Amino acid sequence: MNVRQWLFLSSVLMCSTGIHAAAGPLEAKGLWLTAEKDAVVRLDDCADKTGAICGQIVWVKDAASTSSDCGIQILQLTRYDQDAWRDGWVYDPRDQKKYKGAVRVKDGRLNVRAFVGTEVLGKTEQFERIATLPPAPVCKS
Amino acid sequence: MRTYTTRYAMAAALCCAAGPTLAIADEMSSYAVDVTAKVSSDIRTRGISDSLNRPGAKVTLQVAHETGLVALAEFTTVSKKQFLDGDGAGVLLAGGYRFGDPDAWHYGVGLAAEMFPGAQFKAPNRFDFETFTPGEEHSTNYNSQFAVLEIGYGALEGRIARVLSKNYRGANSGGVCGAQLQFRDDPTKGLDCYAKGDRNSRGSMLYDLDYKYALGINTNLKLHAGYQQIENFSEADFADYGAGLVHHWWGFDWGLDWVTTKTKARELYMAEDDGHVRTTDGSRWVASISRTF
Repeated sequence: MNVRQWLFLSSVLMCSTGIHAAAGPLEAKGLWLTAEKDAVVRLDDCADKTGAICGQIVWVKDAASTSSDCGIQILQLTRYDQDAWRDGWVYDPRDQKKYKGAVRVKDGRLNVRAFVGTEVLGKTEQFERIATLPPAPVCKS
Repeated sequence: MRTYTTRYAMAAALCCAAGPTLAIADEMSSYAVDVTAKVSSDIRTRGISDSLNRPGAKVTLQVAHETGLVALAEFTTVSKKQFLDGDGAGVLLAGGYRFGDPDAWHYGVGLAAEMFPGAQFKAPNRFDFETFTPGEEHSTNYNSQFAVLEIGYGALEGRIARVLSKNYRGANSGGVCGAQLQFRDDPTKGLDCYAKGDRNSRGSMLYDLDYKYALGINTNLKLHAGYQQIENFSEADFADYGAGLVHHWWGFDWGLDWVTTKTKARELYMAEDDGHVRTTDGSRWVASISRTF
């Protein structure tokens, strides 16, 4: 492959990426299962902030060792713009730090991006939508 | 430069951290640190094995600041039979600035330095065609410095690096012409190479194109194409390709990659190993396990 072929391949791939169905602000609401299938986060209107969306852990697989994760609020985002909830924070209990965040629904999955500064300095975690909570144990509300 | 990420791992943290704290910090983090440890069945750089086709390990530290400044330090095990007289380690240091939209156009500029502590080889940089004898031997290390430009669109990442140092991984007349004389049965190519005079590889260009496609919530397909254009030594130009799967399971990333190269002069990618000559290019499956902390 020479330089010309490399540039051609680049342009073809660039034209074929980034095509996603648009989702509205309500799409993010609901129950979302982590990629490891061991916790569920509920996204809904924030009780204490009108027009914002909040995410709270409502189920964990191993309640015996991680029950204290239950109820933790792990995100709050206040503005919906360009197919994403923005202007807020996500929380990482591991290092007990808040990061800037953006949440969007793509291809039926919840994409939660946490970043410092700008979105490009971040990482995305994906969640699967579920209709109902898995069987007990369930976090106390 | 590589992908700089925050230390965010919500899914893992929600479920696996022992003794989580309910108190939520008020301040927004201004920086993020990622440490990734990886073991793999082969350490390949641009499709070429740096570990003489043997297993190796890599530790990567990445720091991103909210200003857009990013830094990376990577420590890798390499073969002492390829990086002669070295400590068996490779170090990559990089710093730069990234900006843009990760879902659309995004960019990065930076500088990088690749070092192999202690490693060097001795070879003549000239050949006296009147006496038909090699010239005086000179020592050359394998260290290189680069200017790097990244241009990406969504999951597609393009990277162009220009070699700023005098040589790229020891590619000078001694390294390239000497290797052709050493490993080729026919000395003509090596002598032709020496006949062009004492040259270095400053200005070489490295091109990489990477694409990642989600096959599922825990599985990604990775595609790679690369091309390296070595200044003054077109015989060292080559392309490399790769395709692989990465599956996230039990907190680890399990990878399996098929890597292949299309080299013009295989003797430039050979090494002596206890009396045997081994190639470090070609096609190979590479399995890996990594974890980000």
